Amino acid sequence: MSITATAFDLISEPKGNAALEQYHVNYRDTYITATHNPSTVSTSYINASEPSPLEAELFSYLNLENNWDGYGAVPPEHSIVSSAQKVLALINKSDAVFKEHLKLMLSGDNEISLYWDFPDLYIELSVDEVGFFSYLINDKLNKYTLGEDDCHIKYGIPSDVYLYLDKYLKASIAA
Amino acid sequence: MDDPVVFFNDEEISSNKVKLLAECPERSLQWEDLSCSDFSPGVVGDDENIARQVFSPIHFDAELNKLKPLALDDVFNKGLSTNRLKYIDEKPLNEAGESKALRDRSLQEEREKTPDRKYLGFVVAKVSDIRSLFEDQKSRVFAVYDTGLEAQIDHADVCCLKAGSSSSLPKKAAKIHRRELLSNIFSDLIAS
Repeated sequence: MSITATAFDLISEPKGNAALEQYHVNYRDTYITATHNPSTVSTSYINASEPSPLEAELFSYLNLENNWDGYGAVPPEHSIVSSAQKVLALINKSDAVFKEHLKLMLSGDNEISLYWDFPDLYIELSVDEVGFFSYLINDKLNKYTLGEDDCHIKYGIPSDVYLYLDKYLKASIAA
Repeated sequence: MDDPVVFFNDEEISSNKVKLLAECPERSLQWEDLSCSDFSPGVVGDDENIARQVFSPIHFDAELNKLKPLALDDVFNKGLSTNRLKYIDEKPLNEAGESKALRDRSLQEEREKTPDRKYLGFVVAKVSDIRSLFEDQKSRVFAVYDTGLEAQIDHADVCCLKAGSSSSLPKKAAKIHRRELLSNIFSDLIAS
């Protein structure tokens, strides 16, 4: 079966067996799961699957047109949405409690961020370049910030992000 | 260019004006004390409140009832358009928002492609709070200018005067931090 994704190219989301790669594909506004075997260069499309709420929100950005925010915003490029989806996929592999509080946002200038906004902790991962993200951790309680520019997605989410989230959420539960 | 009226009315630099302001922060700060528009009723005072209208649910965090920080990203490029509440009341501000959303919807070419734009309301910030943001304890981060328009004398622009890294953060992380700080100054959404 051959499918050409018209609305969106393949979005990589490797799972399970390293030899097989799985993707979510937006094909004519239907999300399907594709399994690709790099060794045989074959792709099969196995079943329709519902995107997670955050994935659906992310994919909905592709349907925007110029001036979508009333202030002259441009829609994001597919490649930026794809990179943001890869960052989201990385976070999806982490602790469920991290995903629970994760949010998405979009600028009018081709930038997508994934972020956590708590009273005493703010963390943002910003995708403004294909394949890379920059991040900020603002520990408001201790008045301490740290961050890094242009981290390659292939190296994963910086461990500091999960360290701060873990520490903050555990402290919140204890309180 | 030494004349802020000429600077803020130059259409060629309009989309890039914040970058130019950040290149010369001392002059840019002085311009806060000069009128930047022939249509302005006067410079923006520290005691004023400014409002940012919200036209897209994408920019709104319904759980926290506040704007998402990226909704303020214009502050880094073309300037964040706001309304001076000293010169426009809540009712006409909301009416203007509704009219703009209606006008924008009528201009949409592919109506099936895009969710209809909707006016949600506005968020408010005190100018003195914006002008009180300093980086590394010495340099101002944002400036507020009276950029009144012929049909909207209450218009003001918020612009970032910092473009590079800070003492503790690299360039892009510093930008994220500045945006977050600004978003925390704005109030919860005041729904129309």
